[in-house]
Order: sequence, then C-alpha cells, then structure tokens
Amino acid sequence: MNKSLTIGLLILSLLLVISFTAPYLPFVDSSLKEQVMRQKEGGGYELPPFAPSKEYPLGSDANGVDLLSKVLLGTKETLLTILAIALIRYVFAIPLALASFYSRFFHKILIVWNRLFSFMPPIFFIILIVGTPFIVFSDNRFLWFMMVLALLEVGRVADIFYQGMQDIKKKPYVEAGIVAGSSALTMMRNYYWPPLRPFLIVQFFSDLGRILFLIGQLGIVEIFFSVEFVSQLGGAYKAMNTSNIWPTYYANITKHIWSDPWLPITGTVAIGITIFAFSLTSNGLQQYFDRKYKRAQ
Amino acid sequence: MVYFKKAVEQFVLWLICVFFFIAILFLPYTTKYEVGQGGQFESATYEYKVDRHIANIKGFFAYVKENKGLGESHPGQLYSEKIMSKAWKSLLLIVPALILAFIFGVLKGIFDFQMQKRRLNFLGNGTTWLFISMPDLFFIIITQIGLMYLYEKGLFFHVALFGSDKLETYVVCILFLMIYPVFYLANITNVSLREQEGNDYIRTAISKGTSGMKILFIHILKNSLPKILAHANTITLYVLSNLFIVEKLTDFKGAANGLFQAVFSGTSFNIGLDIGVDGVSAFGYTIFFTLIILVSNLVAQIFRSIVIPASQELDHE
Repeated sequence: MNKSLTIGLLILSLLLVISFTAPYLPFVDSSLKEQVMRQKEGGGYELPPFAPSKEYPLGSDANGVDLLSKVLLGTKETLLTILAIALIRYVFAIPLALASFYSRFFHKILIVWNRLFSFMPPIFFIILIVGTPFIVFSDNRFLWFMMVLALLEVGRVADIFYQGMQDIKKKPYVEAGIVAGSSALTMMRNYYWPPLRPFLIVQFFSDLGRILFLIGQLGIVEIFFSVEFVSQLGGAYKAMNTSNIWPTYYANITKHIWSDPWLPITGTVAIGITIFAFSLTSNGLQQYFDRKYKRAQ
Repeated sequence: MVYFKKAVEQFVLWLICVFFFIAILFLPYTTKYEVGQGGQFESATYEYKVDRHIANIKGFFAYVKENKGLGESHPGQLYSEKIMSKAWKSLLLIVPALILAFIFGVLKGIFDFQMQKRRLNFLGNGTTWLFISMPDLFFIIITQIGLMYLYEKGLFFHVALFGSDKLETYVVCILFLMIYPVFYLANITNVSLREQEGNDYIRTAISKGTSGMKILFIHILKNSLPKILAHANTITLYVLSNLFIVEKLTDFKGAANGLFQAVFSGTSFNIGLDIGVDGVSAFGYTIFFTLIILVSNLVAQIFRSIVIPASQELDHE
C-alpha cells in the first residue's frame, strides 16, 4: 500500500474537481461581487475586509468579495499557471539535457548556466529582473513573468537529467545495445527513454510544488503576475494585482496579519495543502517506480 | 593545488555574476508615457538602446572612481555606511542560521537514522517528512498568528515579532530561517548514513569492539560529510531567498529590506519621470548577497578538503 501516492493523488484530484466545478457550486458566488460597506447587527456600518460569518464563511477580502468563492474559483487559475511554468521549463530543459549529452559545446552552456544561477538566490534575481521597465510596462507581463520563473531553473532541471543519462550510460545493457549496432535514435528510444520516463514524472511533480512555493514567496513580497496601474494619492500610479491566484492573498500581509488574519491564513492553507499534495505525489511515485523496477532487477 | 584552482574558479564565477547584475541594474530606464486628455495614465512603452546601456554602466564606474567608493546618498550620509549597517543586521541572521542549521540538521539526521528501527519512528522520519513536504511559509505564518493569538488570550508571554531592534526578533528570525534547512539536511544525512550501513569498515570497527556512538560519529559521519557538504550551496541559496520573506514578514530592516527599497520601482511610478532604481545601493546589496554565497562555497570546500583526502576528491565530483 503506497500511502503517499494514494493521499497525494486524492488531494490532487479533489483540487482538479474543485477547479472545474467551482463556478457551479451553490455556495460559490461566481460573479465575485464586491461589497463596499455593510450594516452591522447592532447598528452602524463596517468596512471590508469582513470577519468570517454566516454570510462569508471564510471572511472577505479588502474589497468585500467572499473569500471562499475566491479561493475555489482561484484554484483553476493557480493550477494552470504553475502547470504552464513547469511545461515551459521542461520544454527548454529536456532538449538542453539531450544536447549536452551529445555535444560538449551544449554541456558547457549547461554548466555555465547552472553555476551562474547558483550565485543568485532565486527571489533576488526575480526582484531585479521583474522591476525592469521592459517587463513592468510590457503588454505581455504575464508571459514574461512566466518565462522568467521557468528559465530560472532550466539549468538545474537539465543538469538532473544530464546526470541521470550519464548514470544510465554506465549500465552494462547500454553497452550491449551499442554492440548490437543500434542507431542513436534507437538507443534513445529503447535504452535511455524507458528508465528516464519515471524519473521525469517524479521530477515534474516535485517541480510543480517548487513553483507554487516560489510564487507564494513572491506574493509575500508583493510581486504579482498581472497588474493594473491604479492612481494613488499624490499623482503616482501603483501596480495592483488583478489576478485571482492564491498568492495574491498575501498582499499587504504585514497589515492584515494584525487586523484580519483570515486573509493570509486562507492563502497559506490553500498553498500549503497543494504543495503538500504535490510532494506526496512525487514521493509516492518515486516509491512506486522503485518497487516496480527494482523488483524486476 | 586542486583546491586553489577551484577557489579561483569560484572567484571568476562571482565576478561574472556581479557584472551580470550590474548589467541588469543599469538598464536604461527611458520610458515613453502616453497620457489621456485629463492627464491620466493610458500606457507606456519602453525602448532599449544598447549605447545608452553601455553609457550607463560606464557612468557608474566613473562615478565610483570619482568618489573613491559609493559616495553619499544625502550630504553627510555615506552609501557605504548605510549599506553596511543593514548588511550587518542581516549577517547576524544568516550566519547563525546557517551554522545552527548544519549542526541541528546533521543531529536530526542521526536521530532519524537511529529511530527508524524503533516503534517511535514517526517522531524521527515522520517529522522530517512533514516539514520537508509542507512549505515553511505555512509554519512561519501560522506561528506568527498563533503567538499573537496566545498573547491576546494571556496564555503566553509577549514575544516581539516585528522590527529589528530587540534580541527576541533576531532569535525568532533565525528560527524561521532554520526550519527548512534543518529538515532538508536531516533527510540528506539520514539517506547518506543508510548508504554507509553494512560497509566492511563498519563491520571491522564493530568486531574490534568500538562503541556504537564512536562508530557513528567518527567513522560513518566522516564518510557521509562530503555528501552532506555538497548541499551547502543549495542551503545558502535557500536561506538567502527566505531572508526576503522573513524580513518582510517581521518588518526586519536588514539587507533584503534595503534591496527592496532600492529596486522596488516596479510597483509605482509618476507620469513623466523615468522610473529608476537606486543603482548605487542596489549594487552594494548585490555585492553583499553574492559575497555570502562565495564565502559559503569556499568554506564548504575547505571543510571538504579536510574530510576527504585530495586523491579521492575527483571521485566525489
């Protein structure tokens, strides 16, 4: 019985179901109606964010939007975003790993890429690059943002696969394949790919968790995906977040943590559970593949 | 000789990295604003010109040469002093966090290793697994809110969670920074100890009547250390990244906070003014952060050279 895998996949499928059915659930307000003010029971008015109550099970955000609806509706957006980043990352990393396996030139590129980024804490790098006007005012800020997050760790992922292929290369059965006169393509398809595939799947799930963690961290330092410039007092314009993904609940966290803790708690729990599910699935898959293949050996 | 060459290599990489950051920091910030009838913001476009970029970088070096340093931010206030004082505060968090994380991480790994055959295994591997799988962000925020709640109810004494003046906040920040590294290293240690299990040299030591503790700490741990130290860079990067989060959450006025103030132009602007970073400060903090990584890499290498004989060094690469 593979507990990690079962629980991980259970949570993930629950999240998937939520992301598709959320707009149709009876207690979800899919229009995300804002409520600027409401009457208190004992008289008088109060301003959002409202504390958790019957009307707002998890409370409301700073615009008076029901938080429960917002979290559930944000599930799809959040999952899609991290999936897209992971896919972009792998689209670059896998070819780079393959190329550096066959060509020294590309291996040099991989080493330099990897070493260079090992001198930069990821958040530090993102803060510098995302603040450049090139990205700030780009119409495709969202895309640029995803590209930066994806490319940041291409070197690391490519290196893992490169090392994996080097390990496989040392196995005697690969030599047998070469002796039997297999072409490079056959070698790749029949000798390298089968043991690499489980490796790739395990790594992919662990990367999904890492990405969500990173954008969660970025939420705390108030770097968001899609923004709208909003006029401020004094004539300045400030970038305000316009998307619905979970890390945005961390906006103004240093203020909210005092007065309305349900906002950061909701974001943290949602992100925590999802990352937990990804790492459970990744570990579980690792166990599953270990048992499956090592028994055969 | 091998070590000297590696140290030089690290240094060159550091130089390249710093230059790369300078290139980003001094991107030309010329922005064209499009303004509507009432003067409100409509959109902005950005054009990149190579010669402007090069001129910016050259200008910065000329500025440094002229001022023989980073110069003054306000009359009488040196950039370098301001940066140093903030960097020092952060250093007081980073260095203890790294050292303690290594010590407690390895100890926790040994504990897990010994517990795995007992009934209370969930205390060892279970906790490590939980803390690795859950983001530390979760624990940090829950701890903060929890402590405030407990204090409000009068169940716990007051802990200063915000600011950077009291000793308590330093301790709390160090603990927050340590959470993930400790459990990450515990896992690595546990795995590498298990790999050593059953080796001939251990059986020899047992047959000679060496005590279990001595075998564990002197024989096995010494062979596992190179593998553990190989993760020094990962841990340092993690702690530095997390420093941004912890400083933000605890309102700690350290180097991460300073860098924010220097570069966080990306979130607000005024029409007509070119948005720009405080390049001089940002440069100072960049040097600080990359230097920490350089030093941690070098220290890890020195430790490795103590543990591994030079002839085996190549095998571990």
